[in-house]
Amino acid sequence: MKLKNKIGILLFSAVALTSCKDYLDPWEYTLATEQKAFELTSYLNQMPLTAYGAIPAGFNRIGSSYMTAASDESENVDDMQSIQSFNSGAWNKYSNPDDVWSSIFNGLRIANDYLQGTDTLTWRSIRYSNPTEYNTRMITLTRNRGEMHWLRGMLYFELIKRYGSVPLIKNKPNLLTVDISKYPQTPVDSIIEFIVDECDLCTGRGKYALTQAQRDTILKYNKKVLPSPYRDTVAIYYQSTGTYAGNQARNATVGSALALKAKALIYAASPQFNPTGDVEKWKRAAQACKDVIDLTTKYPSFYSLGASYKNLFLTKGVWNNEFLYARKYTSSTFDYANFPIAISGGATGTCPTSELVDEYEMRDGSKFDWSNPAHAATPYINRDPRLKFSIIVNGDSFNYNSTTKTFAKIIECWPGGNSSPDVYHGSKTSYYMRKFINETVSSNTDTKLWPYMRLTEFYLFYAEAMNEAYGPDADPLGYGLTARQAVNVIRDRADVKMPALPMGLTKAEFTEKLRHERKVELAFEDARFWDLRRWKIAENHLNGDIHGVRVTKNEDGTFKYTPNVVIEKRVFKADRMYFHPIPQTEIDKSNGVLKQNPNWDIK
Amino acid sequence: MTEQINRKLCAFNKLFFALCLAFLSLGTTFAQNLTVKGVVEDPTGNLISDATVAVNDKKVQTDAKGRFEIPAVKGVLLTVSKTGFATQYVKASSAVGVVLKPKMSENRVELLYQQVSGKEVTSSVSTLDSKGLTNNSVLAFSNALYGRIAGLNLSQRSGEPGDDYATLLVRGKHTFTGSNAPLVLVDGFRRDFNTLSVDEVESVSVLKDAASAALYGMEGANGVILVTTKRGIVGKSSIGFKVEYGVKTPSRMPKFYGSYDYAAFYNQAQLNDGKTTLQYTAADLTGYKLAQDPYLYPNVDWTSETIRKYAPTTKYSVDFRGGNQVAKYYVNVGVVNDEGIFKNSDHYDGSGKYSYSTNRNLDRVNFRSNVDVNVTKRLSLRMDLSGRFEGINSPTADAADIFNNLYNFHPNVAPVFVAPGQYGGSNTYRKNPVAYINEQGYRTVHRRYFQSNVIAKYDLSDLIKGLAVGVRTTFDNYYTVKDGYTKAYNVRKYYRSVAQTDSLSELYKFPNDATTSLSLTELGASSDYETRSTNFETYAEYNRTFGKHKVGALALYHQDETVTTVEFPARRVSVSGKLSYGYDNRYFVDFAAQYGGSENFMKGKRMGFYPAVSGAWVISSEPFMANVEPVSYLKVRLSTGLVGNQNVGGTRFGYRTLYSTTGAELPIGNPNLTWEKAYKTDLGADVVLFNDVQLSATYFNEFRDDILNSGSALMPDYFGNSFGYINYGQVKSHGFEASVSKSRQFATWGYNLGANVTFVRNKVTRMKEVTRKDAYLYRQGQPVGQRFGLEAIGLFQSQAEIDGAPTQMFGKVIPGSIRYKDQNGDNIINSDDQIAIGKDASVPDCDLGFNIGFNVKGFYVDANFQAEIGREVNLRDDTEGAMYSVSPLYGDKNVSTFVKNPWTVETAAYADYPSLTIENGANNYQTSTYWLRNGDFLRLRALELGYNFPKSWIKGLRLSSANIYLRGMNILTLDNIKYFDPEVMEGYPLLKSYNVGINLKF
Repeated sequence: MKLKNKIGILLFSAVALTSCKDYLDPWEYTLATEQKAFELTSYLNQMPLTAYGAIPAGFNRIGSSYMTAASDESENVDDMQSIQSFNSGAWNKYSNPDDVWSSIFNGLRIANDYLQGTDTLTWRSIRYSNPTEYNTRMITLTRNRGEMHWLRGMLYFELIKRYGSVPLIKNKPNLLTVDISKYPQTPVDSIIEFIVDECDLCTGRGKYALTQAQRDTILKYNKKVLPSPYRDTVAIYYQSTGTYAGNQARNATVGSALALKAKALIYAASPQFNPTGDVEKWKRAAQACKDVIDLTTKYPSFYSLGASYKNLFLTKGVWNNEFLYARKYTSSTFDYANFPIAISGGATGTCPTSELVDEYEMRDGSKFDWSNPAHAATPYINRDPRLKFSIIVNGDSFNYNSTTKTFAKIIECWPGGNSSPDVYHGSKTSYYMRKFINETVSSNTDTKLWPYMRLTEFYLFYAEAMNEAYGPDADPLGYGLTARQAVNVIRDRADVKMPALPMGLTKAEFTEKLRHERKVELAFEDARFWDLRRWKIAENHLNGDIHGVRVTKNEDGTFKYTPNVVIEKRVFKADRMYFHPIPQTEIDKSNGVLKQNPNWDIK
Repeated sequence: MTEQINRKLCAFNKLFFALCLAFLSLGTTFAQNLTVKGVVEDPTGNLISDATVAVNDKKVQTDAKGRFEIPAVKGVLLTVSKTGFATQYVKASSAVGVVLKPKMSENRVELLYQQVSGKEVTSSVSTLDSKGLTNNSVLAFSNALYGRIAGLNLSQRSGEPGDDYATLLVRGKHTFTGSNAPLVLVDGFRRDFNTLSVDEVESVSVLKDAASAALYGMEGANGVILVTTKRGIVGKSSIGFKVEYGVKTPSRMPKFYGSYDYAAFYNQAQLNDGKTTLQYTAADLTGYKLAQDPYLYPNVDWTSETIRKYAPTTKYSVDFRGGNQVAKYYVNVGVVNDEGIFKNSDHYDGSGKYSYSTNRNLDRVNFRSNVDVNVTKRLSLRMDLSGRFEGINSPTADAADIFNNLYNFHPNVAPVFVAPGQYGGSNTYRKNPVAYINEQGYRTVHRRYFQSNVIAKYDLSDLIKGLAVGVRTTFDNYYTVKDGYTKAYNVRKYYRSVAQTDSLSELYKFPNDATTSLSLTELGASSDYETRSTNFETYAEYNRTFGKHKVGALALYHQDETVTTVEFPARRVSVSGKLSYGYDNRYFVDFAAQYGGSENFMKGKRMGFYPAVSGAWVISSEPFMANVEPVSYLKVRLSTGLVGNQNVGGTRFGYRTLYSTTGAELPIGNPNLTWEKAYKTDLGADVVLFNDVQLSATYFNEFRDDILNSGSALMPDYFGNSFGYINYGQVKSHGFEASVSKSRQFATWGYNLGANVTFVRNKVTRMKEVTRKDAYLYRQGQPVGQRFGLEAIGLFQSQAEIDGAPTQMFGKVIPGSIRYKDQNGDNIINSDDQIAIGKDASVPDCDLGFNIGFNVKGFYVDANFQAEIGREVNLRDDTEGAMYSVSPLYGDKNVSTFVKNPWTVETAAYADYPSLTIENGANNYQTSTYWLRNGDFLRLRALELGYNFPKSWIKGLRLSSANIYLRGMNILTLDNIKYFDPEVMEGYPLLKSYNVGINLKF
């Protein structure tokens, strides 16, 4: 008995004491930790793709409204859309419809993470055993690294145009040990230089310029892993030489990089960021814009102005020669959201204002004027063709095509008509947006491109910079294109053909012409909101009444138009609203390191 | 579970055993047989029926007059016992009288890993035995506990067969990120107890304080529900047979106006919206009013078209119970068929090949076999097997969709059928509720549960007296898979032309994607999901009494693993122990602790230590209390300790920084992540007055620390990422619970009364939050899950009033819209004006339960009431509210009878609903005090009328007992909402049922 008992005890205690040492950590090896993430090929493209997502959206930027509804170009039909708080002046440091602070910085961290994490990545294990795969991965990696440099520049550009001075973080701090006080706001000028540097780096220009021989060497040595930044200088080179024709719908190309640099320099020279009016900044910007325009001669098969303004914004697929950076969207939500209310599924969305519609010139280049009886009788006839390409007015037909039937609907903006302001969600202004809208949208897999930067804009930027630096008709550096000529290139598009601007305008007159041209050419493209700010004229345009028209139908079937009907009173506080407020939570969490933009602390 | 012998009578035991031994060895040779006749009564002279008188393996019950007869050997000890009384031992003689003293202290209480007498319990434990469970017709076990146990709160969220269980809270909520769910153990292991049938459960213990849960310390913070199943007993084997048939009906469903009223309301709304051309012409209204033509002017009560008045349930159960000195067994088999409330759900095709039902039906078979075997004198084995197999048939659409659609579909959309077999509807109204339920095919969910225990115990008394060691292992498996058939259907619209000819529109298909076939298409198996869990435990225990000193010790090693098809396995390891000391049956002290860990935390941070100490003083056993007659028993107890909650919420492996599949770095792992810690203190007293009034009262206090708080409040966003979680939050809670019971049984009649009450309060005392604009917006300082909303200050009476008021930023405001208070005075009403409004519907201030029973001459009545006081419901809240039926016309919804006198210029004086609108009701449907209602209710959970046949009647049928009953469940609810059920406000309604049943015991 005693022996048995002892055996019993031994048995039980043996089991009890056999505690498996690793019983509680068998899963660690399967988790996607930092060390693993960069070695997994699935992350090689996925991380950059996610980082790109941080660029603020194009279509339906704010809720289901385009950004344009916060400028004097248009008004959103829905009073409940958060974008309306830009117009009512109700936005503040607690609530900002365009609050992209966190998402952009999140994208920056991913880009920094990628650059830092892949810097020493070697894939040694397959270098000799599977050289083909190794080569493919290395080329992909090199290209992605270049793009991440561009993306950092792009995201910082999106930040400074909103918030001005922000912290410039070029690495990936360890958040467990980070000292927040080491990361204060960096002056805007330094960030501009960073953007320029990133664009030079990923295109191998400026101080990163290399000869073909050097570049070939790097390409060759790259495969043996060169330290940054040398290997990154060749990144986008692949795209322009055709090795990688590119999926412009997301990835940055050489055009994207030159354009970003030029755009950043334009902003740097603009009054908002250049309060002293330093002309050198304009000169530098002009040069950068010229580099963009030169793409059309250097790589004509990739970069050229589109022949048709009308079709430019309905591009499907992934590449548009005029778009320097674009994002592809696969959805018809945007179309339906802006279909006139009379169209099945339509929600009106954007209501273009009189401030925009009246801006379109007469066909002969003269100004449109409601007080001219001839103009007022048939206000939408004989106008700049871009009006009809961009805006739907009373009496226009809207071609709706479903899978089963095609019919055209006449948009009726008079009381009792199908799209009048009296109809629920009928346009407040009696105008509807046509630009970007695929009237024959049939399925939710329709694709479209949102142009963040398009070639046209760089002709206009060039014109602006040249005018500011040298005047409308001067070309002292022999670029071969004056400010005036650059604008006329745009006005001369095949389906626009507006009369050319004449010689001999003053600098100020030219500025007016240029601003007109930008408003018309770039309508709804998220340009106006920022232009008004960088020119420091927002309080003249965003404060006060904005207007639409009222249409009444006469007994003989003709229409009477009542112009300048006030549809909204807007508020723009010039002491603060040129820059977005930094979210108050950020100020609080930074323990005083971050400083709020001026006057946003006033309640 | 180890010692079946009363420790109190230790000395007596020796004698008893000696006598038994003597009997075993000599009895057959020298015994002098006689028939013992006796009477059993209580100290006040009440005769006690159903007391057990046992000698060796013979056992009899006393009859209604307390009498018994049993053959025995003269001089051996008879054991006389009854639940709630102290067991008495008397020498066999021809005539005996036995007085049984009721003693609360003699109740056996199930604790973790041990069963002790009630007197020795030093912690906060409430136990409900099988008698308190059987008067139930519930199919989900948790629902049997309503109103029965102090400190336990239940909320049923649906009445859907197979998914109608309740969620549980022990003493309210204690954390805002982690789980508040108590740990549920069945026979000592983590298991879902809703898989049990009421018949197979012996007792339910709720362990509420730190001391009682300490052996499961790392998971004990939310309390432990310990369910013990029935086991075999030594004695005559018995066979029990039960049959029950019942019908169920929704406790309440919203009601809707007919077509005329609907159309009139629609027009009224259009007028409010400023429309001049109205939807319904005067002719239309007349048509609806006079019900002129069911096709042109349909007026369909969709609820009565789709919902049955009564749905049947049948239950059968058989159990076998018995045993001897070597082996004991309990076997139970149950069969349930529970039909849903949908109408017209049977589809026959004639041949039967494609016959099917689209009703929500539950078919269940469950079995249990619990076997105890004494293998040798020292080694005993327990082998338990149990399982449950369920098939749940349901319509293709989810219940929530079905009822939302039902509540949305107006009465005048279309008749049910526009032609024989042809459903009514239109291009935009394809979800004809009848077709939506019955014409989309069906789903079947198969669920299979299998559970097994093997427990071995080896008594080492030869080596060290009082020492035993044991091993406990389990293997459980749960598997579920869904299959079914899907199908589309057509609707069409009815037209009448100017020329008075009728026509039907083209067919509109639902669902309208091209791929769904109009005939049944097999879906194939999907969502298969499996869980396997294994437990392994080994332990040593020591129990011994030295004179007045009673000493106990337990040491235990535990490890378990749960593997599912979708997650990394979860593993836990712990070592725990308990030391008990009792002196003279007056003073008791327990110390219990666990050192345990799970892989949810960083290596090095995984293990936690959870100690608790508790003590009790049986004051009534003190000499100075000997003459205090009214107090039969008085004990005070105090416990304090630390227990943990490892279900902290947040992400799993939150201590690591991981990368998502989209390639982004997930929130930074916090290597210091750790458990929630609950510091609990309980002070209680258990009292028996006048021998039979039992009272128990406890004050409890808990401080929950280290609650996970999102770490995003720590790191500015410009670093691009933040900490996932930090241990930061704190919640304090406290409360009081009490229970009282009294029962008396006389020769021909008896009664029993019981009541319990629980008050709880909690408050978030620390929480990291985003910066908020105003102080009143902060969640810190509020109860867990505090609702925030706007303060409604009436309805706007005119446009002038609107123009003069602060701007409301939620949607169009018209006269009759709800007006809100501008809390911060900025002249704008937006989300910054939300204040804390109302109480939590899931944690009432006060839970009440009471039971009343009365019997006379075999007839009895038993009632169980449950009430929740101090809760508020938001009729417009997505999770609580039946919002679909209180939001008329908004989003094309139907108009229910909840809408009375909506605001118009005429009704302004007495309007009790905002002005109707079709365009944009968002202003009115903000979370606000306007939609808050007092959610208090009192429910008659069970009412049973029954008859126990006299033994004399049933003797000839070889029956030992027979009983028939009528039972109503949830048949009465008193509340302030009236319009729909205060507990289950959306989706499949809560049901009431009427049942009739028979219990036979052979």
